[in-house]
Amino acid sequence: MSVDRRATQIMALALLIGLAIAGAIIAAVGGGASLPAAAAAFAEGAYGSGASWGATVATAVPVLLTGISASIAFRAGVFNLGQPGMFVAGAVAAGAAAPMLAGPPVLNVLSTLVVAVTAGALWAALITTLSRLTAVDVLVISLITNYLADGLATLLTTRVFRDPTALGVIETRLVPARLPLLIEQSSFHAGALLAVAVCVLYWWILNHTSPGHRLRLYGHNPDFAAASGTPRRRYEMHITVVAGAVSGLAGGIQVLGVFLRYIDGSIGGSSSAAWTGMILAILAPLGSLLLIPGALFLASLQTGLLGVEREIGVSSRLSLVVQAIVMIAVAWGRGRAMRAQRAGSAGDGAPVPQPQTEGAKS
Amino acid sequence: MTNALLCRGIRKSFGPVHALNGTDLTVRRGTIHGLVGENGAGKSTLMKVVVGELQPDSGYLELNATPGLIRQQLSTIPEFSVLDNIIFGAEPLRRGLVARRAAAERIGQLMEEIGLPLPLGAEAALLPLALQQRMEILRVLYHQAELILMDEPTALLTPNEVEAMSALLRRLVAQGHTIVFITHKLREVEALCDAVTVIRHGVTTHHWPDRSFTIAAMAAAMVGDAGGADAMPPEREGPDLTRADVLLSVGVGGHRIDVRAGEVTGIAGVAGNGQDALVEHVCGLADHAGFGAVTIGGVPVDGWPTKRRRTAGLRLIPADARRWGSAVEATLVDNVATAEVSPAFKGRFGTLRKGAMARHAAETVAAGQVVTAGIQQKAGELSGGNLQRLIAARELNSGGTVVVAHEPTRGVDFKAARAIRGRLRTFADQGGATLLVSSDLDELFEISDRIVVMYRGEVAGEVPRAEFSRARLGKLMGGIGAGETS
Amino acid sequence: MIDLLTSAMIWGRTLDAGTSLLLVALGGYLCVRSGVFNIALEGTMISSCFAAVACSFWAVNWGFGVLGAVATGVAVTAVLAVLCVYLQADVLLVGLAVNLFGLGATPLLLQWAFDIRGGFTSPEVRPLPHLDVPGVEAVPWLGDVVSGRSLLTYLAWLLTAAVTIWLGHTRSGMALRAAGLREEIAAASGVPVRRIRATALLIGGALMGLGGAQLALGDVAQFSEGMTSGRGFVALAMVLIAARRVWTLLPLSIGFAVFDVVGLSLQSAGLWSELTYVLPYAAALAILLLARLWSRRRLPVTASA
Repeated sequence: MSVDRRATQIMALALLIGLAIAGAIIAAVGGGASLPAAAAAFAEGAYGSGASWGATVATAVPVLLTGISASIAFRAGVFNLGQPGMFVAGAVAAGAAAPMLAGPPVLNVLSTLVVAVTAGALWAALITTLSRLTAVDVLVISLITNYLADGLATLLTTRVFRDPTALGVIETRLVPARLPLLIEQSSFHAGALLAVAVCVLYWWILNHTSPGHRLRLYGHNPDFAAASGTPRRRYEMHITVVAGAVSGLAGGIQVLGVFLRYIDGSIGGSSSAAWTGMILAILAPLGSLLLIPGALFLASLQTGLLGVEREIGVSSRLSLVVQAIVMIAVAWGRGRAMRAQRAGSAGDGAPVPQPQTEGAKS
Repeated sequence: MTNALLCRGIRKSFGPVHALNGTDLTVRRGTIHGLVGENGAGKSTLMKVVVGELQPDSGYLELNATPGLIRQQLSTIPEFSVLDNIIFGAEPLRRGLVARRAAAERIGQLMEEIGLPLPLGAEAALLPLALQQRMEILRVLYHQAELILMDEPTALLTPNEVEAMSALLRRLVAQGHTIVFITHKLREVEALCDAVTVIRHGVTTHHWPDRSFTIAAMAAAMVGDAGGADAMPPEREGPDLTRADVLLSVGVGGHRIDVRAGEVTGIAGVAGNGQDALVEHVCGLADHAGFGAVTIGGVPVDGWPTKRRRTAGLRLIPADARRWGSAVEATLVDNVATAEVSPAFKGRFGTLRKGAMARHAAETVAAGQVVTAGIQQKAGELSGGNLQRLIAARELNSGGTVVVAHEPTRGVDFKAARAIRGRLRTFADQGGATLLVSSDLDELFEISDRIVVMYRGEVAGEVPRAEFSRARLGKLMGGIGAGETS
Repeated sequence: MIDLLTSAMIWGRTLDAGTSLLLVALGGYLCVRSGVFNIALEGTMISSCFAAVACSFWAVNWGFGVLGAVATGVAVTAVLAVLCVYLQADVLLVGLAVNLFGLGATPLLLQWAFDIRGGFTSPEVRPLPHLDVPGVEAVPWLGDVVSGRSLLTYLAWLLTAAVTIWLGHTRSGMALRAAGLREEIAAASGVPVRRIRATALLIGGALMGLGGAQLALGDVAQFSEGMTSGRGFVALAMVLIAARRVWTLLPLSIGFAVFDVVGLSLQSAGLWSELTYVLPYAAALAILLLARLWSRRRLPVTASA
């Protein structure tokens, strides 16, 4: 329990630092007097109107899903940062497939989502396979494949799936059916419900089923899991594929709910929602329902800062900066906690014979 | 000074663990001095004190020669060349750059003097272990050590390589060096050493300043036999088991180790002689070339993953409770269920039957007499003994037919250790089979029906209960064949 | 296509394009070799790019641009040093954060310093000079390739040699490598592991700063948001491919640079220009795979018993 409280304290402190620095930057760029106006613009941008709410929720959806995806992987100790690539894979697949899948709207939407999920899962499998073949840490491979995914997305959208009627914009054709809007003339689409459902499902599986039990214990101690029968390599691939599926779903939802096509450059790059999702997974307690408010919070950070950008003119890239600072503060706090823990147990540093390998010392 | 090294009453503790309890050691210059003892006796700790890596809590230490320690786990940087490994830490410089050529010349001379040729340019990782060891010796010599401390130097050498090593050590001594030879291999001590000290539980139990020692005496001193009489283990009646079912079988070298229903089969040996590998091999956690086919309940299981072996009835109480036996951040309920929940606790769609799991956990806790604040407590908060009780109860209570217990009572308090041993015995008495792998002879004596001794990855001998004797087992553990006398 | 491949000008530009990769990779190499898995190359690089342009602009002098870039690189890695080496914060987490920070802060700074969005260029941003090498420049074809390159290109080659010598032939270099290979053995031999790692980070940061300066000021002196386009990660891949041979960073940088330069001309050769966004990364993965296959061929003669 004390660990959780400390974690919360670190979190709170980090957020405060982040906000303070954001305020400082806004003051620097827009002038000190602009701060109150900035605060107002922030609130307006994030929650001020139905449109703002819709935008915040729509922004939160991919963050939540990619956050779940990252959370699943991180839980198993797999530090795969390929969510941006899986996200793009799902989106491109959805944009390409939707116009080609015939049928009534509901069927079209569902089958497109299935395609998106599969694309994300396959991409994730690719990352893991590449990592094993090259014997390079999956972390590095996944970072490179993110760029590869972006490049392939551009290539495919431009050369293979391009909408010939769209002039000046590189995008796929309009999807024949979309995820319905829940509030007229807003961006609040049914994908939000889907995302929440996935999160609840994740929480439920994690805490009430045997696959979730396995994931939790694997995350606690992979050696113990192996000794009780979990096959390591196969399991890690399995988990990565599931994570890929969730991120792929996020991509599909973006295409079917927001853009209604895949627009080159709309998803991906450094401001990709998947990065925010990863940060969500890193900062929030893994696998809990807190991911939902967490995603909303991070989304409102973005929409709020967009509001600030409209009013005061400060670039909304500020959100990346804030996120970075929060992450650094959390990393520092966790490092401190770990040092304290190590110092506390220094007395137990006895060379009691623990022959885990041959040739143990006496 | 005739003594290169003098230790009197050295004490060193790490928290509650007393590694050295007043150890004495006197090493005369120009001798090869054997330091004998089992694992945990304190040999390595003492050596670390001598070279200054550890500060003793109390005691007197007199060092009249520059020491150099060659650890059991070599301090090689595999990616460096042999030359770099030797000079690392004291590289000669010429105009700011490392003067490798000059160093190579100097080392070349050293190599000639003691007859120890090595390919200086080769990458250390490519060298066979025997040569890596030579490299370590050259290293300490290059760093001008006169007193060379070697911790289990022949652990992984072939007999030929051991010969070469012995010849080398003699040459070194002829040139004025002093050597402390730490080992549990009594044959080598007999062949090589001019004097011997035996350490047990951090205390020097015997010291022979000259070659008046015998293998039998050393063996006895190593395992704690008080005098000449062999201590007989407590009597145990039991049915004739020679026809009982073989529940677990594994090939070791040319031997087969059969573990029968109703029996506790003990595996003895100084740690590092293949026991860890054997356990991993039997449980499917790793492949080890030195071992043969494994059968469980008569069915060959080679290639089967761990999960399948467990389903077939195999259970494991691992050596490191906190690493392999439990998840310290998880609750007791989760630990009892393990990562792979048994089908008995699964409902539809894979849901967990938490009520049943909790009940099972409570039963396990009660059966193991685990002292705990409740089944929702985190496993890491249990004391070592209680955690081990829990693990033992879990593995023995879950429908298994054969249990492999790997150092099950190491680091565990006396009461818990006794309880666990009792349960291992009961498990066998009720029709299961227990394979007890332990470096604690007392433990093996107490509950085993027979003891197989492992030495250098092979079976050195097998002793039925009726013939248990410390002297005999000590010899086998020290590498002296079953049929030989000292 | 053949024209492309034999054009001296193209190869010359390739060398220059490879310089920023080479410098950043050198910097990253030092960090990783010392045992700090620094993934923040992208963020460090783009921060340095901005500093190079800003300082060159303000001083109307490329020298100050380079200094500013170096100082920025050092400042960024100093943060890593403090947090990860001394305060034991997770190096991956901090690395990620630094990358994000760089990508987010540079547009902000662009806005704050120049009141502009997207990119900045001006005649007062002085680019790096290109040097003619006397003697070499007279050589046909080769002269056009090797001579007339950016100042930092020649510096990068020298630095590669210097780092090779440092790591392989000096005490501190060996200590650095030991700290990265076997920390406990190094510490037991008296190597001040933390100090060495911090030093490696700072020097690495300076090198990365030079890389950023080359990218920003080497050809067209300008800054644009996200101009590094993943070069930092390609450099990271290069570090991994190079494993324990520093000098391989040079040919690797040229190899990857080819995609940069040739990619722009792909369209004229009849190939899809979008391949230019795919090939560098696909090539990185392919080379990693080949490197692995190559190293597995060499079976070590290890443990006998």
